[in-house]
Amino acid sequence: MRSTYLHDMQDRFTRVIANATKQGASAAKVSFSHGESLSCSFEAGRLKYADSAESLGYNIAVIRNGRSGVAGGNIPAAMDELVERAISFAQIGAVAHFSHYPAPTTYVDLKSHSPRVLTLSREKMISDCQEMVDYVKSLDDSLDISASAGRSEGESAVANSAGLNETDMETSWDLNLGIQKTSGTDMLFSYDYRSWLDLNELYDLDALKSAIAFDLRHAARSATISDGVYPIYLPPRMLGSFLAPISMGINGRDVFKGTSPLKDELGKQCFSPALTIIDNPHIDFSPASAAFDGAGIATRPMTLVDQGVLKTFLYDYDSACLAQATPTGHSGSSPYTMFVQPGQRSADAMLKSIPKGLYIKQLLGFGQSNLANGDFSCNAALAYLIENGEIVGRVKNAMIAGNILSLLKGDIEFSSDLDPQNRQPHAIIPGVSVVTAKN
Amino acid sequence: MKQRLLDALNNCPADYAEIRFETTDNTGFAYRGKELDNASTGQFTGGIVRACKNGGWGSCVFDTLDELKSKVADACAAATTVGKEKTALAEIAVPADQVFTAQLKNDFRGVSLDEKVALVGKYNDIVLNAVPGVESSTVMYGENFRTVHFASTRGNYFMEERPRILLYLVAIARNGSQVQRGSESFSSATDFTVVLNREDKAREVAERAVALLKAPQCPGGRHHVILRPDFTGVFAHEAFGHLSEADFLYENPQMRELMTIGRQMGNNDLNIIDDGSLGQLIGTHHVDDEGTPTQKTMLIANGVLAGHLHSLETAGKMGAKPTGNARAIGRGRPPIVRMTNTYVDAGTLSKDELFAGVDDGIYACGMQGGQTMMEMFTFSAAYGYRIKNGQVTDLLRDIVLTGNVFETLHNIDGIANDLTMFELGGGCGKGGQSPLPVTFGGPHIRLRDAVIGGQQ
Repeated sequence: MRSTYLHDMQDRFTRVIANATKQGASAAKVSFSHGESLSCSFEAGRLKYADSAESLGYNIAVIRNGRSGVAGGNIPAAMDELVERAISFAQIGAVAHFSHYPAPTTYVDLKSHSPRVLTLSREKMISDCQEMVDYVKSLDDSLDISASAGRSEGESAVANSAGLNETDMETSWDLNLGIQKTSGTDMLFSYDYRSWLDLNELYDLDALKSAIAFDLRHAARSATISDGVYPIYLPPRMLGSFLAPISMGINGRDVFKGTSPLKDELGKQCFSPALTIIDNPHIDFSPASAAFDGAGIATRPMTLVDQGVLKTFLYDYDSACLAQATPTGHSGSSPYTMFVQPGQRSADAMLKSIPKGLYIKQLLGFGQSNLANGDFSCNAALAYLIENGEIVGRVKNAMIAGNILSLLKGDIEFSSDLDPQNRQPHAIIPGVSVVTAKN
Repeated sequence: MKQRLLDALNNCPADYAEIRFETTDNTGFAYRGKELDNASTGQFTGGIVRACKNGGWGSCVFDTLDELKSKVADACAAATTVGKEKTALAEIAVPADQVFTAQLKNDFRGVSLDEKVALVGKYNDIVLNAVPGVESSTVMYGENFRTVHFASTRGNYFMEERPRILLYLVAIARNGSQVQRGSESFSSATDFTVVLNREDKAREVAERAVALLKAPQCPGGRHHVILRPDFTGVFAHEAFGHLSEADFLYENPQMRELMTIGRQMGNNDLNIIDDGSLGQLIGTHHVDDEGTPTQKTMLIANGVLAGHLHSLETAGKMGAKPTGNARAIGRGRPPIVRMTNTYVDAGTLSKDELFAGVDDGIYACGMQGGQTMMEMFTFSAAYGYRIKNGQVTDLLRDIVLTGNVFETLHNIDGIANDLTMFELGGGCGKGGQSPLPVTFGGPHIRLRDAVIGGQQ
């Protein structure tokens, strides 16, 4: 990095915590992050942007007289002033359900910084994007092609009044490729991406090129499906979206407040025995990993759903104190990852077993559904008709709908092979309603 | 500030460069259930240098004004790496020095935090206790005061203050595994009173959340649908507005052909407008984030495609005039082409005449959200009702419309005369910049054969 603030922050952190404590705070925490990044972007098949960025930010949280005050900023010299603001804010602030942070413990040593990432020069990223763009152009030179790449390096630190004092360095990269194919009023959008904290085999231009070629090949033919109820075949990227109601439903704070539909389901067979979900925040170089949560509680791999049985709710420290539960080391009471465990058959064999169904690549409007209740109703923005185990063409203007929490009780299946990026399997979910504009 | 920014741009080797520097001061708090659940405040500064050289762009994002000249140099060097063609940015005639201080009718900064917390707490009590069956709540207040300074190598400078306040009222009702929400939101750029006297709305969201527990899902299929004005506004924004943003068009020959001015888009009484200069709404500014004055732009006039929304670059490359629609969500983000206050203009029918034309249909109310993939769109109503013989009857939940914009606009067969503009919470999301404050508006409109998703 061109500049580092970590040493400077150590002194500031000590002063901030001492100042907050002196003003009556029973607990205080400061967190800080600083990052630098380089990126390039292609639009319409041509290099268009080269960007650089440097930014920092910090947060000060205090608890005073049972209430918390949180103040954020990005000017280090204003940190002392922000302490005053946090203290002042605590007078009316949110109710805190603890008065002191827990004592820090030992934490797993996770790898998050790779010098190899820093070998990604702007020239290299431009060259790699150009290679992907040239390949896609060779498939169809009428496409509107976009590509981008970026790399970043960051440092972070956190300290609290219980003695937590940790620093971390992190690198990351991202690679993106997308196309828009326009034929009259008919449009196809396809994109793929990769990102990781280490420069390893996941930085794979060919993987992105193949993903785009797949959609161009299969969307070249159109297909229709009549209104009805069908199985859907989900690639690993889509499966994560369908786990959202579980992720929301196991939030311990929502469970305590009574707004989770899974509130009364702990220990019960909520889903198909085919479904096992593990939260693993201990994967080196994963963007989702963390050694400890916002209160300094150590994280650990946890089974969330075991063969369809709901095993746990998740609690950050404040929520655990509120609900008189054991903290699980989850900031915001949300999972870090939701790895669905693999099944028996390959993704290809599963696809071949479907007599008639929809292969869902992209959804439009999924997030507007009442996902907290498990309901979804959205446009299958990029979907293919599967007939007799083969993809036969693109289906447009189809809405799919159902209740995910109910659908996951059904005869669902997951593939034995996992996506190298997100480590999720393919899935088949039967029983999804399909309504189309034209039959 | 003006001289500091202009000095940093002096002798810049790019064809064009600009610096936007911002300060923001924000405060927000929310009740969830019985307790004040989170409360935070923040002060941030930062900005971005953008430079254009031979048609290529470079940018440098920063937090402080220290070493500003070197940040300009970084952006210029990056632009030089990229540029391989001719820079084509539209010219605009603007005064060299413009200062737009916020014209607040009732300044939220003059109201104490204690008063605001008490107000929100009162609403929260109503949401939780108005009717049996409400399990929890989210009642949130937020305020933000953004000050934007801008200078470019064209010698122009502006400072504009852009305040915003908003209030969310959400009731959450649960019956076993069934969870439903009732929600309303309110926002203003000028007037704190927008969050006052909302007791009736707090009661209404509670009643609706409980009622939705018993409401059936909207049946999937093709329906005649009447959109309430707030939903019409989302329709105008999602189904058509994004398609008129010229950054989706200017370098894509097929899209330019598809969106050629003069194309018949709908029936003759359809008019869709974007107006960033309208009143003092949350989507209104004096100038956009490239210094272009905002304006009223007819997107569809009498059913015919009449205009696009432009930045300096899209206008320059399409031979059009900039429309003042280059907007950035905040410090460190580049401006991209965005809508401002977008609405379907009033028609001639009365609301009653519109409903009288529907024997069996759906009345879609309240904005849940929307999304577009250019020709394809979805938008979700917070709730709705069945229409039978022109009368509003049973409450329905889960109403999600979808369609192809080029077909759907032709299916608008009735436009009422009750145009209303809505300043709500949330905003528009595009290019990772969300939520940008925008206003939605329109009258009641009637759609024939709209596709609604639902379970079979």
